[in-house]
Amino acid sequence: MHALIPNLWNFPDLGLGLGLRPVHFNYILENWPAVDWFEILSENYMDTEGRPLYVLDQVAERYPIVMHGVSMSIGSTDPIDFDYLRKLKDLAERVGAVWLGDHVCWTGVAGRNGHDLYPIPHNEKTLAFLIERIRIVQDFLERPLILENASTYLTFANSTMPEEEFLRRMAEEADCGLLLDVNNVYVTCRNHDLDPWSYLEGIPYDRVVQIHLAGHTDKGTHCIDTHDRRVIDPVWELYADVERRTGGRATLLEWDANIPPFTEAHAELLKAQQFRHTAEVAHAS
Amino acid sequence: MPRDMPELDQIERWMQTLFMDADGVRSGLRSEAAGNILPCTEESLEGLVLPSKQLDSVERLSIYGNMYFSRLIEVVAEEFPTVQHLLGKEVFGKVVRDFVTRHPSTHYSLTRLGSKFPAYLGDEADDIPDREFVADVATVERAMEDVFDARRVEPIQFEDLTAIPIERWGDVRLQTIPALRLLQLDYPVNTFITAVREDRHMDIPAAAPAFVAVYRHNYRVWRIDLDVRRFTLLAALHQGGSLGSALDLCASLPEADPAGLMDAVSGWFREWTSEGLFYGAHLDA
Repeated sequence: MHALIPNLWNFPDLGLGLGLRPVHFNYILENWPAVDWFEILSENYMDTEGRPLYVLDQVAERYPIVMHGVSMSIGSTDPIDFDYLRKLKDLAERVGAVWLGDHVCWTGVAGRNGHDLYPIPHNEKTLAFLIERIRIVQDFLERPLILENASTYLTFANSTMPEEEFLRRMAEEADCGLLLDVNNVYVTCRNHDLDPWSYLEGIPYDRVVQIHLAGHTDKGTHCIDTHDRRVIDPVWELYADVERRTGGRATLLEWDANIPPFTEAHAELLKAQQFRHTAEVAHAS
Repeated sequence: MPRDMPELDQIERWMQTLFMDADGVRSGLRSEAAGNILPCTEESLEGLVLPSKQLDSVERLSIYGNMYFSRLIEVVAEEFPTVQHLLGKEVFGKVVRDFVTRHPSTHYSLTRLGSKFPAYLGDEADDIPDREFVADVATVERAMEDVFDARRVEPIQFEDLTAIPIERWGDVRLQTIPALRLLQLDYPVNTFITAVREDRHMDIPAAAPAFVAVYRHNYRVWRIDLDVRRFTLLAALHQGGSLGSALDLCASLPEADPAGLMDAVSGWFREWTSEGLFYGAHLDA
């Protein structure tokens, strides 16, 4: 049995959470469902004073909120966008975010934005570059960044280390946290002909603060991280392994396309309980 | 890492050029723009991007290129459903592809993407059928997006207006809420938009001056047609004119009935304040 590893910052295990999505706003406001916590896509609330923020304020009064962004572009060679970071910081203060994060990726360069999570080569040079950027951002935000492994679809010829080693060194040397998306581990490993179990061996679990679960689309030749369906069994198996290793981490189900009614998404999330129970038993023994 | 490997900045700008090529990654690879950043042909591509067991290097890059356009088309379609209905899905997709190629996103928020779309349809896009009508529809749909996110303020009530001494009414300047757009159009598009959103057939109406107010009230977005008198009065106030000067402007219209105007105006303000269109009333010193 693996040793149980707490995260370095003692961030709480918030339990099982869902992404806060507009299609579920009315249900949530009318029912205040028994969800442990909500994660928001930061950018959906940073430039609005309309209904999304109105709803978020009410949700934040009742549930822990975690902020997860898609536009920090920490791996971009463009200058850091401090206007963006200021808005991010203000929103985090407004909703009392338990932690906030983004992805290990870049989203645009030369002033343009592709609105996607683009990969970076895993080598010493990009590692050093990324570490410096993370430190600057953390200093500005005055909190650790919790960065997620994105799904990737290509391999750079100038990568010199496996992704999990890159993530470990990035997290340790920049002193940041990790959001381990086990669906992304599965998708990335499928796309790169790698073994996801070996990937999980290399993760520094004392840096893992949160876990993501999601469904993906299997195209046969490759997988796309679509967040549009249920979690497949092999991903649940990876999740169970991570839960056994850590003794339990805040876990979130992402569902961003073909979003079902709230109760259906919640039921899918609650499947995680069986694996968390295993971890709790392991923790107690 | 081999010594002749490109810098991260080069890789990112090169990849972005490929992903944003309207004719696909293969076309991007042959483009002068990409070649100026990194001299790489399809034959030498494996020196930068490795194939997987299932996909060659171009196919792997194309996953990102295809997702770039499909995502942005989806976002613009969500914001401009009536425009998509008018053009048909295929033409709409091509128009958006051209639009984002000529006007790529430069902001982290996807809600900014459509801000130039109405003007693009009206002035720049190739082969748009019923161009003026389509552009007017887009103007209203974009206004709906703008007011959805606009700054929130506390509106004043009708009683706040009646509290102003009647002899000072001419000097009052009313502040319209940020979530209000007043649109002067060449086509009566409002009922057409409603018909499409309710899935009812309606022929494209003949050109005729039309005036529309788009606003947010209680976190819902509304569209209402205005007659020329109401529009003139509201627009004059919106631009900062005093109530007296706005009424003079309104009374000077050929359509105005000066004798009945003052009776009508009271009802208009009762209606507008109940819809929360004003948030301040100031008297000139």
